[in-house]
Amino acid sequence: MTIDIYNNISDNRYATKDLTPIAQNINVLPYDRINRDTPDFIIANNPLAHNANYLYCDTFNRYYYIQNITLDIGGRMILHCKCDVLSSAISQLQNCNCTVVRSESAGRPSDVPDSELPINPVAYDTLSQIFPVSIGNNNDFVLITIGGAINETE
Amino acid sequence: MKLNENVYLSPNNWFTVAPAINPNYQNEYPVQVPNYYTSSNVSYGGIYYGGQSGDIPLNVPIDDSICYAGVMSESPINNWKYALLSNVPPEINTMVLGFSDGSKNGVSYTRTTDTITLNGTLNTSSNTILIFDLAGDYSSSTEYPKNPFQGKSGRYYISPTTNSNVRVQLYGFNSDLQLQSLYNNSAGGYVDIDNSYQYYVFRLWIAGSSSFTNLIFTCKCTLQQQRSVNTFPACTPIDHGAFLAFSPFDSFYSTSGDGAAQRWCFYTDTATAQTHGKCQWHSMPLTKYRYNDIVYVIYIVCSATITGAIQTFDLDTYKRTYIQTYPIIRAFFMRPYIGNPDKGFNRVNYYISRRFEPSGGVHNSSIAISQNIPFDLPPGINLPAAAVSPGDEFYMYGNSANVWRCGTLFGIPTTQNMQSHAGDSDFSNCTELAQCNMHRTTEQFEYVVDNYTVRTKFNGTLDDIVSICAHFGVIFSDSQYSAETSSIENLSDDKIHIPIITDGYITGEYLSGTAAAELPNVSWSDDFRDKNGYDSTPAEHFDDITVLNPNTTIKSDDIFTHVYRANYLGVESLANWLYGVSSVGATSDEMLEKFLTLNPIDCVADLILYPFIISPYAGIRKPVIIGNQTFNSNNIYKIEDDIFILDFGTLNYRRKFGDFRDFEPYSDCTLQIPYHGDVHLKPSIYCGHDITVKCIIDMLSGASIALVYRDQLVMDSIPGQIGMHVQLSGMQTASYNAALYSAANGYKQAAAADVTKTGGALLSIAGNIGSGNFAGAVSSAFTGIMSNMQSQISLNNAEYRLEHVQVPFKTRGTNSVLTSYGNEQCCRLILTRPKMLENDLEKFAQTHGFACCINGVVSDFSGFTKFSAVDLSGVDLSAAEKSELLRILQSGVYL
Repeated sequence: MTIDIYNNISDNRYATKDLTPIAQNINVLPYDRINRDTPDFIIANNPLAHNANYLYCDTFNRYYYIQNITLDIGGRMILHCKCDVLSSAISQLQNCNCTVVRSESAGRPSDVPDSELPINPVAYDTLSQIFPVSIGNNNDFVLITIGGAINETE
Repeated sequence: MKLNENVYLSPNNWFTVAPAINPNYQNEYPVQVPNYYTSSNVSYGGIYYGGQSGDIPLNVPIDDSICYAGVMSESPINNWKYALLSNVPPEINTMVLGFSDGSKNGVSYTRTTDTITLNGTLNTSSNTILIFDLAGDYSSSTEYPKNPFQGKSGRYYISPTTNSNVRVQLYGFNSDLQLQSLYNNSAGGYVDIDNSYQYYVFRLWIAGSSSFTNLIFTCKCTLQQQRSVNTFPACTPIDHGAFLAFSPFDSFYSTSGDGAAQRWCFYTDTATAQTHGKCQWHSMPLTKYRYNDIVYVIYIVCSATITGAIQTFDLDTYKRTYIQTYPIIRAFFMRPYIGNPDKGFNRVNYYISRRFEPSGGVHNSSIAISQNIPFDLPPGINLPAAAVSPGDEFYMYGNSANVWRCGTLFGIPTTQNMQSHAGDSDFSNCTELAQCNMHRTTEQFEYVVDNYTVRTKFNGTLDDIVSICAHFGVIFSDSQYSAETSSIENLSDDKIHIPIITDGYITGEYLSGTAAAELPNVSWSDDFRDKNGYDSTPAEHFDDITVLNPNTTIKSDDIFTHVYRANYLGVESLANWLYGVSSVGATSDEMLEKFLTLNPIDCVADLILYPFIISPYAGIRKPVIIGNQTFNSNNIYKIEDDIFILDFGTLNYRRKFGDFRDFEPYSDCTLQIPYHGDVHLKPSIYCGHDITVKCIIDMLSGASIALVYRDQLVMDSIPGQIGMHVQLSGMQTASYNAALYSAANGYKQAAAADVTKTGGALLSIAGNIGSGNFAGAVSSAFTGIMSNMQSQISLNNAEYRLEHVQVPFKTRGTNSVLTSYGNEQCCRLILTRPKMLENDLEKFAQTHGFACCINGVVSDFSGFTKFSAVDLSGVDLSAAEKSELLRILQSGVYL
């Protein structure tokens, strides 16, 4: 079992981490049972790895966050890890069907209400548009009369 | 570039889609004017110490307490010393500025929302220069406004000064304190303030021979309405629905007889030769064209060397054949081709451009002037005073076919050493105009200075040229052949480009040929509203909506009633006539015969006042039927239709954001309809659609119903009352006649009684005398006198009653409320939309994403993504890991 040790500067939420290699193909010293999800990897003390925070284990084919490092007797160091399931599975994840509710790549707000959008809660723009036809400034009467007119006057 | 919304708010505003400059656009393509005019005869000074060297602090108390004048530690130019104000708190909008002599009673300035007013009394002599700064603190604090225009970018109109010898100057200082003239005029004019300078300084420049005593001085800078101002010559809007206008004729204009044959087009509606002073010969009416009637071909003016002879090719030809031979691009321009449905596009022989006159400087006539549209002059270009006089006349200049005088988008297409108009030093003027009158980036631009002449060289790529042209939003082509042979109706040529206009923005992007055929602007109609450029997506319609035709056969009049349209004179004449016939004392039989009633006013069923002229809608003149009588008046017309429709027209309720913010509860819409009140329109129903308002008016009752259409479909109806009932009055003729008869009868009876009693008394007196009964005679006489007196009183009373028979009046109806007549008489749409907090949406998206609901596969997305559900089948993880992975995906990840 070998591991590659890295320094990861990416946010944990990044599927693809920005990694700086520190040491490659480091033999893991068999000492105890190793848990796959939260393993403790025991390796020979390597001062370069003291500030490492990320590793890849070929046996498990998974990436791990190094959560803590213990320097042990006998020139050993123990890397207490937790699996990064996101980065470990990202290649297989690509073709999975999904429904997305927030997306940067959407590019712009959509018709879906977005309560997180930075809308000013108190200020509004108000404008008015006038329709093209106005009644004008005139007047006329409608006269309604009753009768049957048999005589004509004036 | 965002099209200025204000332009489209009202049909009273001009419309244009393309080449508009507004602050947004200027930010994108900052126009920087090289300062070639370093005046040598201008004295500088101010609150200064006269150009003396040394760093003498000049703490002139500007206001009673807190505003001080100071001195810049560095001399910006030629060791001139400028005194600047410092420590001006932002809330101080009014202050008194000092004079150069140190007095504090100099010039004041007042700052309001959109104006800056300079006031003062000048007591000065020649060559006194006042300089004052409105910039605030230059020393340390950043919280104070750095200039009076801060947050108020835009185009300012600076009013003329009260004396032509007092000139207002406005300078901007760059961060390295290099001075840039922005405005220098006494006659008023415009200046664009984009706050790109660190400091802004006003100065008064006093002419050398002038001396003033107590001259009241006022200068007002007013922020102009932000609206589109064209710089691309052909696109100045001239009329509603007209996108462009060209003259098919030449009209010559020449001030100097130099044969320039500059062609003038003075826009008129009729084909009348103009005799305007600026159009000395013939100006012919322009012809309007639709947006998509015209395609612009890009031409390149190039030369083998910077001083070599110029050649002109369309872009496609240049790219294919001549780019190696003539690598120097001296200028480029677009030439309009007018479309013909059958034959493609035909070239317009005359360029349409603003005129700048090489041999005579810049003329007033070279500027397109329209009311409220400021001059289209870039900062730093100072026209002769006579050239700057805003007016409401509009001129458009059709340039000659000579390439070297066309209005370019870049550069001056002259021959080597400007020799096409040899010795013309004013060419530098033209060069500046041309250089500024375009949209470019400084990286694409290069000056080549040779002695006093200045030439230009385009330093960008051909793609840059296409991009610049695409930013005008007009249909364009890089091939003359394509323009001449293609049809907009059947786009198939990839050299015809259609700009993409999205949500009111000219994006600078475009599609070509068949790919562009579906773009909305390809099929814009000649309705100007169609080209508002905002939401060009065709309106959504329900399928198979059939608007049922209204029943036009319903008619309730001419059965027992008759309906007329009358103006005030007609009503007045009828009223007079009615009162006349009512007071003639006709018998009841006569009245019944004439009017079918004893009271003629009963023949008038109603009188309704409407706030518009009815005659345009219907009507012929006929006698008015009143009972069995008719009355003729030239001012009364018969109305044939009982129902009238008043069409207030159509507005497009544009989507502003193109997303949820356009709808409730974020946005709101109210429609005010005169005589009907306000109605709330749901944005979700109307937004993005045309709104039409029509009132159906029942002319017999004055009632109306306003129908609000979304496109062709009525979505709301609001009852109202548009006609005002007028109270009627008339004599009750029958009652009057009865009262008159009764009084007359009483008089007759009293008169008869009086005669009887007088005769009886006389007979009694005579009988007593004859019988020798004198006492009885006296008594009889007394009794007779008393009786006679009583009968005389009765007679007088009867006579009084006869003479004072009261005329009984009758009223019908009551006056309606008039208040709606005092309100505005048009429909108004009031839109309320949310404002955004000042945030960078791009950065927001990087951390939050935008709300959506999109199905797909994970690889369809990038950046911040938050899932609601993911099918993790096929992912080789344990169940626990899958649960953990789903939780992570639902909380948001970066892909």
